[in-house]
Amino acid sequence: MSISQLEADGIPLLFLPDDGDDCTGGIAFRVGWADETLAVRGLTHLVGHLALSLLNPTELHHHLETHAAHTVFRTRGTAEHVVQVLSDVCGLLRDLPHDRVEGEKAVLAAESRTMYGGGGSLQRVRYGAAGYGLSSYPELGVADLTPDLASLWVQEAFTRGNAVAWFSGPELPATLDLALGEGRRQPPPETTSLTDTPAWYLAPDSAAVLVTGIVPRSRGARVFAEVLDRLATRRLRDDLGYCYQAGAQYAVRDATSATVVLRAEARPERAAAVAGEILDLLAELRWGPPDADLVGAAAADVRTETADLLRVPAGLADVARDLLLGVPGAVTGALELVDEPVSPDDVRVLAETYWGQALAQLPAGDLEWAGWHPAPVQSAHAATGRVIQPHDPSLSDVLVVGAEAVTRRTRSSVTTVVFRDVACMLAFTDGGRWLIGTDGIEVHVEPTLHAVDAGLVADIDAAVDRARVVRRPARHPGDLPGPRPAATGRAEASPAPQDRLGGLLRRLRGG
Amino acid sequence: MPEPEPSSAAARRRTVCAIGHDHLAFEPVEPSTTSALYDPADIFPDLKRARARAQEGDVTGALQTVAMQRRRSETDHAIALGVLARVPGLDDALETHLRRAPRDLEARLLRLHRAVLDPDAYPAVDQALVQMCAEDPHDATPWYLRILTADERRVPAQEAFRRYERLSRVELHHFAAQRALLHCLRPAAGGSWHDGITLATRVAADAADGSPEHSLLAAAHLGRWHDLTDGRSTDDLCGPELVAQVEAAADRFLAAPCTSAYAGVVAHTELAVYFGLAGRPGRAVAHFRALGAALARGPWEAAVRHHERLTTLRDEALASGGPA
Repeated sequence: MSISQLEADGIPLLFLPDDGDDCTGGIAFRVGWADETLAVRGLTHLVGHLALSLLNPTELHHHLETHAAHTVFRTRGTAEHVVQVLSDVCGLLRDLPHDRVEGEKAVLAAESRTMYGGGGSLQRVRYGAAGYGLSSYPELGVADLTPDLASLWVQEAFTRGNAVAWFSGPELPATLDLALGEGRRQPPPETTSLTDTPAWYLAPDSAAVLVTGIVPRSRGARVFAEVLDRLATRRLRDDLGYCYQAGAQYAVRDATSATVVLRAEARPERAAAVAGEILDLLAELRWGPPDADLVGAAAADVRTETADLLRVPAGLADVARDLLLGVPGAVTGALELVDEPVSPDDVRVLAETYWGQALAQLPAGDLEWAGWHPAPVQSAHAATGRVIQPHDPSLSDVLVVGAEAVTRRTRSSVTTVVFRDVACMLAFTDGGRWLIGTDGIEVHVEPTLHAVDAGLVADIDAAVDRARVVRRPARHPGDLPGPRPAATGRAEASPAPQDRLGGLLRRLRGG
Repeated sequence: MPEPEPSSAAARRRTVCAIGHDHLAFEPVEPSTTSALYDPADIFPDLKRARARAQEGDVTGALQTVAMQRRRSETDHAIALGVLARVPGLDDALETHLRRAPRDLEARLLRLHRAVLDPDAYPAVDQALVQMCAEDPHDATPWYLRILTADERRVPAQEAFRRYERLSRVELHHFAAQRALLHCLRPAAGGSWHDGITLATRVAADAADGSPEHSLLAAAHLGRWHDLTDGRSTDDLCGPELVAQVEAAADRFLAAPCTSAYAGVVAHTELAVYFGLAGRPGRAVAHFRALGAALARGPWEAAVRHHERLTTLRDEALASGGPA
C-alpha cells in the first residue's frame, strides 16, 4: 500500500489505506514560530490552542505540534473521531473563538516555565532574534496578543492554500470537512546566518558543549548524523568518560537543509577537553581513514528507520510537511527517503560541509586554537548621543542614547541596538526597557542602574516602532537590578498613536 | 637528613661510579672543559651528523636519521625532530623537498615542528596538526607537537591533558610529551602542581627500570619549587619524605640502562639539580658525572640562583673522571 494524493475542500489530502485498529488523521500548515516576529512570539502556538479549544485541555498537546516552519494538528481513533477532530479544528479556524483568547493566553503563560525558549542560545547566535533564531526566546508576545491579531494570523497562514491534510484507515471517510478560508502558500521563513564560520561562543551557564551545522537534506546527511551520534557516544561517554550523555541528531530545517546538532553533557571543568575531542572526532571524519564498517552500520540503521515511512501512518505528517515546504517528489519518496548507497567518502564530504558551517556553544574555553572564529556577541558600532552615567560612580558602565541607537558600554563590552532594527522591546511599567535587536544583541535600560529619567524613556519609546513593543507590568522590587530601589511608574511614556491595523501587520511581518 | 659526605677522594669516586659508566647507553662527548653542552646535536654524534646534513640542505639525509629514531623510541624521535626544527635557514630546502614529496611524513612533521617554534604560525599549525592526528591517530609525534602548542597557546590544562591521553594510547612512555604536559599543568596555565605531581607519580609507576620517566617526580617538584619561591629557598625540596621518594625514583632510573639516550640527559640533569638543591651532594655528583659535558638547559637554568653550589658539584663530578 502506498500514499495517494487526493484533494478535499481544495486542500491536498494524503490517503494511506491501513487496516490497523485506529485511524489517524491530521492537517498541517506552512506556518510556525520562525514566521513570527519576536514581538508576537507565541502567536502560532496561541492559534493552535484556540483551534483545539473544543478538546479536553489535557489532551491538547497530543494533537498540536508547533514547529519552526509548520504547525501540525493530528489525532487518532475511530474514523468518526478523526473526522470530528479535523472538522472541529477547521471550523474553529474559520471562526476563531475570540472569547477564549485570554484563557488560552493564561495557559500558554503557564506552559512557559523559563525565560528563554527550549532552543538554547545557539539559534539566536546563528540567526539573530528573527526566523529560526526565535527558538532561543520565550513566547514574549503572548501577553499582548489580541483576538484581532490572532484572526489576522489565521487569515494569513491557516488557509486552504497553505495546508495539507492526511488520513489513514481502511477507507477515506466521505464526511471529512476541511473547509478553510482562501489563502496562498507561504514562502519559507527568511534565513540569515553567520558569515564567519566555523565559530564558537561562550555560554557559561550551560552544562553542555553543543555544535550545530547545516547540511543539505539527503540520505547521506542522515547517515552522517547517525555516524556522528555513534562516534560521540562511543568516544566521549564510553571510552573517555568525559560525558554522561553525548550524541547527535538530524533535524529537518526547510526544503533543502537540515541541522545536525551534536550535544555533549559535561562538567564545566571537562568542557575544554570535550570540545577538543569533538573537533578531533570531526577531523577524523574529514581526514581519517574511512571506516566502512561504521558507515555501513549507520546506513543500515537509517535504512531501517526510513524504509516504511511512506507505508505507515506515522510517516504521513512528514510527507505533509515536505509538501508544504515544496519538496519535489515528497509523496513518492525524496531526500532522506531515497534509498541510495552512502559511502565513507559521502560522509567525509558531509563532515567537511558540517565543519565549514559549524557553530559551537562552550561552557568554558575557546576554539581559537583550532582557527574557529569567535561568534559576534558584541556590537561593532556604538551610538553617539547622550551619555547616561551609572548610579554607582565606581562602575565603568554607561548608556549612550542617540537618535538612531542605544549603546551600553562597559570595560569589557559594547552592545548596541539600532532602533530601526529592534526585534522587540520589553517595556516595563517600572521604567525598564529591554531592547532586543534583530541580530540578537540586547541592551537593558534600567532606571535602577543608570540615571535614566522619564524624558529619556519617552525618547526611547518614541524611537522604537510601537509594533515591536511588548508591555510588561512593574517588576517586584526584589527583581530589579542594581543598588537603587525600584523607580516609579512616572518614567512610563505614553505611546504615540499609530494606525491600529498597520501596527498589527507590522507586528506580524516586520517592515 | 643529609647523606654523609665521602671522607676521601677514593670514597667519593666509589659513590660517583655507582651509577655505572654506561647508564646512558651512548658515548657522550668527553668534556674537554667544564663548559656545558646543551644542544643534543652537540652531545650526540648521530644528531650532530643529522644537523650537519640539514645545514648543507640535505633534507632527505637529515630526515632519514630522524626517522631511524622511531626504532629506538618515540621520545628519541621527538627530540631528534626538535634538533632539526631549530636548524636555521632550512625552510627553503624543506619546502623544495615537500614539493617533490608532499606526503613525506617526516618532512611534514618537521615543517610543523618548525612552525610550533614560530608564534606567528598559529593557529594554522594547530589546524594542520589536527589534520595529521586525524590522518593517522596512531602516530605519536603529531600528538606530542599538539601538547607543545597547547603550552604555547595556553589552552586549558584539561585540553592539554586530553591530548596527552590520546597520545598515551599510542605510546605510554613518551617522556618528552610527559615533560611538556607537566609544563601545561602548572597553575599559571590553569592546572595545579597537585595534577603535575600526580602525573609524575602515575607515569613512574608504569615505567620500566632505566626509564627517564622516573625523573618526572623531581621535575614536578623542581617546577613547583621554582613557581612558589622563584627559585630561592630550597627548604621545600629537602623534606625527608620527598627526598626519599625522589631517591627511590632515581634508583629505579639507575636500575637498568637508560631506555632513551637523548632523554637521559634531561633525566640526569633533573636529578642532579634536585639532589644538589636537596642536600644530597653525593647523588648529585653521580648524576653530573653520568652527564659528562652534557646538561639539559631547562632544569639547569631553573636553579640559576644556586649555580655556584651546583657548579661546584658538577666540577667535582667531572674532575672525578668523566662518564666513560
